[in-house]
Amino acid sequence: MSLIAELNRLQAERGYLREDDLRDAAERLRVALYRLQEVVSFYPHFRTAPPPRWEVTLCRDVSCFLAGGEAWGAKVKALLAGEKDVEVREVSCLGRCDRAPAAMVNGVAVGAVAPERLAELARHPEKHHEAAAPRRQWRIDPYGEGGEPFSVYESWAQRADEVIATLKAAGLRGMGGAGFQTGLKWELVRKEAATPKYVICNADESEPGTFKDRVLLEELPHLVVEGMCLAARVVGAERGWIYLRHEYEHACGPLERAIGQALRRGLLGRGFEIEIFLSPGGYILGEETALLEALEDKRGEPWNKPPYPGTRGLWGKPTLINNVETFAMVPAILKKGAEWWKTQGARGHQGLKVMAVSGDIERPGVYEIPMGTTGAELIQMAGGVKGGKRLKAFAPGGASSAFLPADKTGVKIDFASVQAAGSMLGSGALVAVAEGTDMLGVAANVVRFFRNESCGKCVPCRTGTQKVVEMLDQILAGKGNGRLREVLPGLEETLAQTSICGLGQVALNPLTSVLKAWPEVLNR
Amino acid sequence: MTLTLTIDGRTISVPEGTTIWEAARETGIEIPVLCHEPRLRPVGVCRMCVVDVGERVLAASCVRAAADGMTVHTRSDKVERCRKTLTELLLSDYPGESLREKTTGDDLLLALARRYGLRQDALALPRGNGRPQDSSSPVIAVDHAACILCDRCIRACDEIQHNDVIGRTGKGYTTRIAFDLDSPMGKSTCVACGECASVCPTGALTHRPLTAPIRPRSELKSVDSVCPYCGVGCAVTLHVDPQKNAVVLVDGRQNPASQARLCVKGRYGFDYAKHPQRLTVPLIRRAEFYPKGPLSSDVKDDGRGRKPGGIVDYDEVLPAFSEASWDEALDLVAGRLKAIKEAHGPGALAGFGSAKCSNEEAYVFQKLVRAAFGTNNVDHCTRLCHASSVAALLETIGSGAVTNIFGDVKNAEVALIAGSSTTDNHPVAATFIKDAAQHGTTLIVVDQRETGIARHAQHFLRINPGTDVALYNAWMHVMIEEGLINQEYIGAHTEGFEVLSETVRRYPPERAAEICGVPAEKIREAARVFGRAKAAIIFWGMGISQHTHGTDNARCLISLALLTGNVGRPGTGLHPLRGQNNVQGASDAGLIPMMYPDYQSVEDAGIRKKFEAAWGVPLDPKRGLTVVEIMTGALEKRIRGMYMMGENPFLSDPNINKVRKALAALDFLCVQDIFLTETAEFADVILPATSFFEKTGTYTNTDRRVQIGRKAVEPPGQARLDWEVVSEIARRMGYPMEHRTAEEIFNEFTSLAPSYQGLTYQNLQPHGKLWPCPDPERSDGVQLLFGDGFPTPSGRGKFVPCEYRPAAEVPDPEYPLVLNTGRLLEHWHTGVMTRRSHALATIQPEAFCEMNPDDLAAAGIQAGAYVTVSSRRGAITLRAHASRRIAPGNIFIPFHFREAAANALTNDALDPVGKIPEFKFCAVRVEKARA
Repeated sequence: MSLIAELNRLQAERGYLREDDLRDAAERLRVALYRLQEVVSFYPHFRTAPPPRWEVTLCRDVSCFLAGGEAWGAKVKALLAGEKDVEVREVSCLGRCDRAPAAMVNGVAVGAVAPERLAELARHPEKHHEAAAPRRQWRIDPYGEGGEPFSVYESWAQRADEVIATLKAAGLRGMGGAGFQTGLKWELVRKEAATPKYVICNADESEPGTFKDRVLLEELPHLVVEGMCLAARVVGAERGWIYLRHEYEHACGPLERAIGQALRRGLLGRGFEIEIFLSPGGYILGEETALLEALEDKRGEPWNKPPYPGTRGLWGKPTLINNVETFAMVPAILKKGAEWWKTQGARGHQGLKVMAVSGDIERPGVYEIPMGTTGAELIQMAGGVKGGKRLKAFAPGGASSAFLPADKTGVKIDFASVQAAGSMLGSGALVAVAEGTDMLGVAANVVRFFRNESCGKCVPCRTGTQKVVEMLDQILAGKGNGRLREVLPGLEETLAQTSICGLGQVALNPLTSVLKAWPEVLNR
Repeated sequence: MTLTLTIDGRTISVPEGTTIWEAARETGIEIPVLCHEPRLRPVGVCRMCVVDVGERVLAASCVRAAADGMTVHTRSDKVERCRKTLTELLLSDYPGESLREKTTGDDLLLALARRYGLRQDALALPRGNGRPQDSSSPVIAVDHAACILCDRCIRACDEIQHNDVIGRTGKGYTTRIAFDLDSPMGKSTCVACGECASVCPTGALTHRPLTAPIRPRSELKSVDSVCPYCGVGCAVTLHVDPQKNAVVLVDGRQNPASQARLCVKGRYGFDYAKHPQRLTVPLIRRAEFYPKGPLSSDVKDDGRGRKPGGIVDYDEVLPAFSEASWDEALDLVAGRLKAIKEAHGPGALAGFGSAKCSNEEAYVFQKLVRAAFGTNNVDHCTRLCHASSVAALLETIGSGAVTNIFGDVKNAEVALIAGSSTTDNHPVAATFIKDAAQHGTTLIVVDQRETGIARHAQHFLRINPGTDVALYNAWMHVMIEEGLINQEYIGAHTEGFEVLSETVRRYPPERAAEICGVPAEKIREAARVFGRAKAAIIFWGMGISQHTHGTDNARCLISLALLTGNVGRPGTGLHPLRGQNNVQGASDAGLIPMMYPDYQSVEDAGIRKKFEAAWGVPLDPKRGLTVVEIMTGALEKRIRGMYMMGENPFLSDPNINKVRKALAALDFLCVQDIFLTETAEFADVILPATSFFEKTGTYTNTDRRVQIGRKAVEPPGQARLDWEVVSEIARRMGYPMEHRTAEEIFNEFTSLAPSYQGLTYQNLQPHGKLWPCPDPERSDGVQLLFGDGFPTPSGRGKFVPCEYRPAAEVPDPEYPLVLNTGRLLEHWHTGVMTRRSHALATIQPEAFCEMNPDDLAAAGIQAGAYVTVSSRRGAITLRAHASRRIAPGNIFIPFHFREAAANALTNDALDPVGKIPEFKFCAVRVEKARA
């Protein structure tokens, strides 16, 4: 972590990374120059040219796209054209899909404002502060109705096997996307003989439409920290990191306060420490092995698996990695019991789920729902489709999940049910698309996202996504369908079957789902 | 543990840890792959090797471990469909012309395209990635458009050669390979070893042609040989275009020592043999060019002032000679040498052989001098490199060769690298040391310069030049004081411990710190690291040997090893890294004035009798003169006639102004070489010899590995085999030498050299053998020597304590700086070969001196400006380079460049035992050059 930390320090000091400073750093840290180049050029956070005084970043991804982000962004650019201290550029999803179209001015989020207002803020950013949303009641917060935070830890810290048994009994599954059994994962890492061990909270959610972890970090940081501390006791870890995407830097405050409390209450500092690692950027870092590479000062490129991090993770040692939401749910389950947890679900499903809802929706935001809630119910909770329009399609699990047509809104939100309906629960992000939207445009937007965020390590993802984007751009530009129909099945199969990680494996899913449900989109 | 799996219906058992790809290969199933090759760590990025193991998705067989009970399908329809699509994706971005297909004809992507019936002009996918080419390297062509990001070059650069230059820049589709901070390859820290181009599967990184266009491998003749340059003795395969009679490409060849690795010289430095300046006819000096003196100018006027020039200008030199027939030339040589012998006695003759020549050539040469000239005045450049090391080794442990091979550094817990810029001088051996360092061996580097290998060291001690004895005495002081010595070993296998401990008692680290300029605590720390190691190996180079106390330096290193029992076990040993490709062999073959072949003393009557019987003539009972003594003898007219085979003392010897006078003073000089060297300018007769690539012979590397170098091309013009020429001269001097082949000579040599006994041209194939080799049919030879005592009279290793003595000429106000000389990675000795190699001369075209920027600033000199460096013996003008690798008060000059010959400055003071000159230390002054 010394290299990325040093680059962060240099950039903070000078605004950007000058070649001389890089050469000097290579000499001091005794690393080869190419390693600096590899890292600096891979992470969007690093810059090798002087920064503008004010940097405006505009989100280009699906929820913001559905909110008219393209035209909006063009307007912002036009308004700020020629402004000498301002640089405007488009970036990948900022995790503010609830305030689409979203932007940031020098790292502070601005959402859903008129282009003129954004331009004004860019010129006078001192007028702008990110307002904290009112804190809500959470069912997953065992201290919501009183009770001493971190007290669950105190009664469970010595009962590792019981913790595992309870999590298993509750059937808690990983909420980052893959849905692996949490109790089992903890047990596997606990059983590993190698030491030291590590615990990592994956707070790098970056998939378009996904922002539930941001809200959890803002509102329930103490549960995340407590969940990590419990995990550390169960698996026997010495150090922990919260891998936080840098666009969520504002969550450092709440997290640090929670860490401070945990330290005072003795959860930390006695054989277990937690640090926050600010990601230098990129969706791929949410892939757990890419994340480990970043922690090891390398390009965030996923591994061929096996081995899995539980056996050989950070620096080759057993490493438990869970998502923010997963850790946050642990204290409640332990406090109230597996049985309580199971009864929180609806229609025979078990437990609770935190869902981000965005896109063409009246009240985009984060909703804590019983597992088994239907898509239609969730959309209703969020106020229904924006402007009273009819729903055309929805993605139940973020940009990588297949789009389902409106007639599938009866699907129950639960890992197995969504999969059975032909999509996936993924990152817990429902994106609604209103009638009248060009689904090919939406699909192209999503493929473009994966092209932009592909790490480039393996051939199918790196080249496949690019070729499909080029073909889609041709079609959208009205230059005919080319041979997309002919090559897509082969590309879809090859990306799904041969990509190293999930990004490439699912990259063409949304497009294929659109072409399957609305084949007519290619009749143009 | 073995496990059993089924691959395409075949059941196979493999050891745990075997990958599916390897397992398949074992059953004869080749799974196509682009990013993997067996020498590299698999990374699984091209995905071409995917197979179906019955999981949700396909698995990359190169990285996936085989598992018990696994069922693998390597070419199901799905697998083949995916491979075809992957090929199509890569092909869609591939340039129309692949530089690999165009040259060596072995482009792996295009081979896959053919397998799947894909044509670049008929693809359904959008075309091209628009990436550029980079032609900044003289040896490697870079075509980024043809790069498939397979990562092979990166692993080759990082994990095979440890040069750490290549990486990836950018992300996703815009990723491409990059050098350093994305510099052009030729401007980066790339050392042009070519490992990247040799592993690249596509047209992205390819070897540029150097002699003739590179044609597909199948059309070239391949000859297994070894590298002509350094003592590492890398195995090579020479690819020869028979029509052009030229080596066009060199590949590293798998053998136990070099494991197919090469450096820039071995891979790209072969074109000198085709240089237009090759000598092709015998030459005799014209009468009007006496008295003799240098003929070529070393400084040229380029119209903007006088600047150092380049290699010898033949237009200036050739008019002094007339072409002759071989008979005419050989008769003249034999006649003149015989006449001198008759008039002044055999002791007035001397011969310099060369460590660049084969064992056979060295053997016949020393036989000529001893049997036909009748003197032991035969020596060669070993005198200038490891004479002191060999003297110390013979004195203490009874054998001058290495006790263990360099590759065994992998088993060492600690490796001490003393006075060796290994990455420059033994680049391929250095890769194994760097390997070891990466895998847990602790490196201690002691040097006055921060060398390339120092960057890989955990402990780097930058000592003041010439203070090694004080440092190692202090180490031994600490080790004895702290009980970090091996009492049991000392008791069983050594003698003289008491005297040694008496001496080193007087060298506490605090005293050494003052002498060496290294803090006492650092000295202690390093001593402890070395002393605590369960296995420690010691490598050293000219930084140890080339001092007037070089023998003392080596004695100290030997004492370190004896004190800790670090001899004769895996990961331990004494390894003086030998310089020339055959310096070990030339010495083994008797090219030294005090020894017959295999270090048998000329002063031992019994041994002499054996050689007199073998050679059929009475032999000189007195040891002969050494290199520098012969030059002094020439100056004093004690030596009058000389025969030099492949040596260029005019540049390689210290104090060349004296050498110049000595050469001019000779009554007769015959020089046999492949180019008209600076030394040949003083010759009466010049004989055109064959280059390495034009002859067959054996060469013994630094590890004692005897390997065969094979003839690959025909010699130019009338150039003849060196041993044939030697035999001709012997015959004409009245001493018949009847050899028909190099192999016959080898057999005669081995019959007289016990260490080589049993070795034959047959059993030396294909990888050579280490001597001694008691069981050549079954064994590779003895790797570890002296596990159980030493070949000394007592059977024990002897501690020889040494006192610190300063260098012969220390700085003073008039000459305030210390000059250190040495080699560059790209050049070889006097540059005769390397400066005539396009690649090497392009990368390092000119002389320079390296100085600390603070010294430059203090002298008001800009980096890059011309300076004049002078010593009491001469002055040269060359560019100044600034470098913090060198400590203030010191300068470094490579000695390859005739136009700014470092040896015009060096001191010819000798080590009293090894008779080696002090190349590494003399006092100099640096001034701005006058315009």
